[in-house]
Amino acid sequence: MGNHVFTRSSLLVITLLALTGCEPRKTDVEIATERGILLWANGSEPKSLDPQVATGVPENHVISSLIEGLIAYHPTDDTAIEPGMAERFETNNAGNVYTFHLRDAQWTNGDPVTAHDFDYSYRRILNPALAGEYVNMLFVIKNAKDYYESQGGENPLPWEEVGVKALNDNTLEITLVAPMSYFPSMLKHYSWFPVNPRVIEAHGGMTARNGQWYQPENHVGNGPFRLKNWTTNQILEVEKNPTYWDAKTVQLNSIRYFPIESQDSENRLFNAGGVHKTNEIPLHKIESYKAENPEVIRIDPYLGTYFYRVNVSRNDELADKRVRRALTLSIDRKSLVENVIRGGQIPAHYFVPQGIKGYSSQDYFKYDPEEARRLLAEAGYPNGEGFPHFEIQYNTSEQHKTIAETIQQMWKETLGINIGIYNQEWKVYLDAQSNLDYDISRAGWIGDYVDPYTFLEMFTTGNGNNDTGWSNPAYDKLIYGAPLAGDTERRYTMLNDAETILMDELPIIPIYIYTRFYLLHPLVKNWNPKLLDNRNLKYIKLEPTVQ
Amino acid sequence: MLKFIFIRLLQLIPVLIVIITLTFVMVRSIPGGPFSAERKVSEHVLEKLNEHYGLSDPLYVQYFSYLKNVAPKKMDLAALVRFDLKEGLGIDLGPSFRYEGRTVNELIAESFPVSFQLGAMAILLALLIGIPAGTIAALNKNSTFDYLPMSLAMFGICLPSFVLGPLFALIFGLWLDWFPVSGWRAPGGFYWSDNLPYRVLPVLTLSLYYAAGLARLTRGGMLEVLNQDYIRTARAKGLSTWIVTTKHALRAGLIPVISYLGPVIAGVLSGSFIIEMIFQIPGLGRHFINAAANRDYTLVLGTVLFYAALIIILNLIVDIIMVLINPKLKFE
Repeated sequence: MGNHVFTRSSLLVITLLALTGCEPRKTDVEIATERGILLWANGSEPKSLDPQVATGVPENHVISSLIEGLIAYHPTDDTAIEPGMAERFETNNAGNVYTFHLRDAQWTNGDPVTAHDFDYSYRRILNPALAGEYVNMLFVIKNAKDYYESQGGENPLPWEEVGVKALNDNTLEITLVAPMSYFPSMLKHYSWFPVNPRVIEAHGGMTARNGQWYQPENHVGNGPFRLKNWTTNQILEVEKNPTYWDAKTVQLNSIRYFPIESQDSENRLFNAGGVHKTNEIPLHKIESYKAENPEVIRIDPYLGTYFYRVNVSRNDELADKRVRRALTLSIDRKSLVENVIRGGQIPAHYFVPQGIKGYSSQDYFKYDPEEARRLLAEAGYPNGEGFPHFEIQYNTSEQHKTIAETIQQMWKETLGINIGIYNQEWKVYLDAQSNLDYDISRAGWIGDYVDPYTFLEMFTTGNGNNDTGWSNPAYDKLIYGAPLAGDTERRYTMLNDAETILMDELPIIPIYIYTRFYLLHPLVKNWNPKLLDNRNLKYIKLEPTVQ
Repeated sequence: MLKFIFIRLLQLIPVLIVIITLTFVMVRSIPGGPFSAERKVSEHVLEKLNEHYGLSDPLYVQYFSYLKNVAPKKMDLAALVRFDLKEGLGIDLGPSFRYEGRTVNELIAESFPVSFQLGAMAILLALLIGIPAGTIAALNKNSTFDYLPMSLAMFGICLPSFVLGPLFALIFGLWLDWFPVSGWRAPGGFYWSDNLPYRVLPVLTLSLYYAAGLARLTRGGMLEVLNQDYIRTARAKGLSTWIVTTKHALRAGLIPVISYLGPVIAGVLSGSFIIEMIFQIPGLGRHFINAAANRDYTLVLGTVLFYAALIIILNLIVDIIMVLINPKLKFE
């Protein structure tokens, strides 16, 4: 009898197993969608989750779920102000003093978020011992630069001299070096995000870079999500934060970030139903996705420029403005973008990307092979005769290679000159670029905030990111003067003048304005195109399919 | 035997010092540093960072202090089993430059078990496929059962894992939907068995090359042995083919296979780098590759040192097994 039952039950088990085996397996994405979990392939592993220390886009994606600054990201409009920790703010008549009124909000450990916490956080990043890479962002605060530079010296400036004051628990006053209407926009950058002073002090103090405070067991934030678990190189999960001031708006139950660096791997995973969103799409797959699965492909504008740096300090030929102009005019950017790269990029006939409200962008030059040939002849190289052999350096990647080859071809056909190309491993390439050990070098720049300044600032004389050897006193004067201009209109005019000089001198050759292309599952809602890929994650929603 | 092991372990020290020195010189002489980035870190910040990580000292000071830090100072087997090198041997591999606040010790302790599991499963599978396949081929020399496994083995040897991996992912993952295409653990899994499907493709990809090699070696070894007089004697005694093969022939026929295991272990460990990249496995191999690209000096040195020591020790173990299984050899 016993035996009999055993046989029958095991038969039942086998049948059940067989049945479940036959049914199509639910994918991770289907299960996660039902449970309100967003599965996000997030590029590389975050280096740090400390807003005053971190750099990088994958870091930003995580930090912006955990911590909220005075101003939050608007769900659709990049330039609009979305209230964050500050319920409202006002400026004085001169426009250089901002007063922020904080709402009643809590840290995840129950502490109230106060103006003193912001004061501490800004003091922390301005402490040179922390070595926060984005410290320059805060130099718009009055005396902040002097404070930073005087620490450790003979006469350190006292913190009271710096333009940050917590008037009381709920009021924060920030005095700037000059009136700046774009200041609230800058506050969206994570270098301005607060940290909880008690937690920082409990884990090594203000300038400790030991990463202890943001480990899952210690992390304290004030954002729509809180850190749940984090296994290096595997998964980082955040879950809805019930103590967040606007918790009722938060739609997702949790977000799982997967660090996947290989584009091919994340694409396979997406197609197997493993993630809702990929970081990128391999360039060569864009066309086939467009044709076969247009509903999953997203191409968003991006506030970034792809360009070539020209080393004006190494060779006489490239130091000649006419040669640089000839090189610039002989690139058919429209054809390059439409026939070669094919990712919806915008041909760049200017340096600052379009889309910045109030800043007029115009085409400073156009594709003009005739004029290019004329300029080159004028410089002494009719039909490219006698032009020396230069080379384009790029960091190893299929895409950069393809672009370099195309431009090489265009220069050969239009100008009759032979330019070589070579690739370098990433860090070697960076090193060569900063040592001016190149002729022409591929480059890219993504804005830190939505303003032309974040693009134009780097070409001032001796700027660490200039890397071209180019220097122009009139340009420097405009760039240094612009922040002090007072009103936005005058400021933008000055920046516009600066860009005109840059586009006349052309120490850089703009090529195209970036787009971000990635795969996004159609069930993910409210995922709007954003110029800086910043999203207020509390609005993101998953809609399970109706069956 | 103890003397043999002792001497071999002693030889480990100069070898590792040479490896550290070479790696140190190489990693520090390539252009670029851990903090170079497209958006340049300003001079003053870079200075502070170098100070923080001890990179502002003269190179020879850094070199000797590294040697001092990685010298074993104690022995605690319980901690060693957890791959805790700090507690286990007093080895301090320093902080990682790439992962803020993490030490190289932690990263190794966290990721090596994954690589180890992957490698161990792959070797086991390679043995399970390779030895029976080779034996069957040898027993059925010049018949279909010889040609079929041997041509498959040729195939396995010829296809590199970076081709095989994505191919398997495409066929078994995307088309047939049998196994997940990436990851190591089921994201929401409660039981260990939930993770099993994640292991299939990487383990299979990694093992096939070695299974093929093992099959060919086994066949060769067995063919030689099967012609020996003592095998004929065993058959003459009336023993069944099964007994003759398993009890008499295999023991001698597997000797080339076992001596091949040393290179197999080294190969599986280094081969897993590629597999870990393809299948997004959070193992030490990924650190090994990324560390070099990130100029994460301490992580490069730490992983090189760790792998070197591991491969030497595993080879030692293989040598010991060789002596135990082959009475003709002696410890010396």
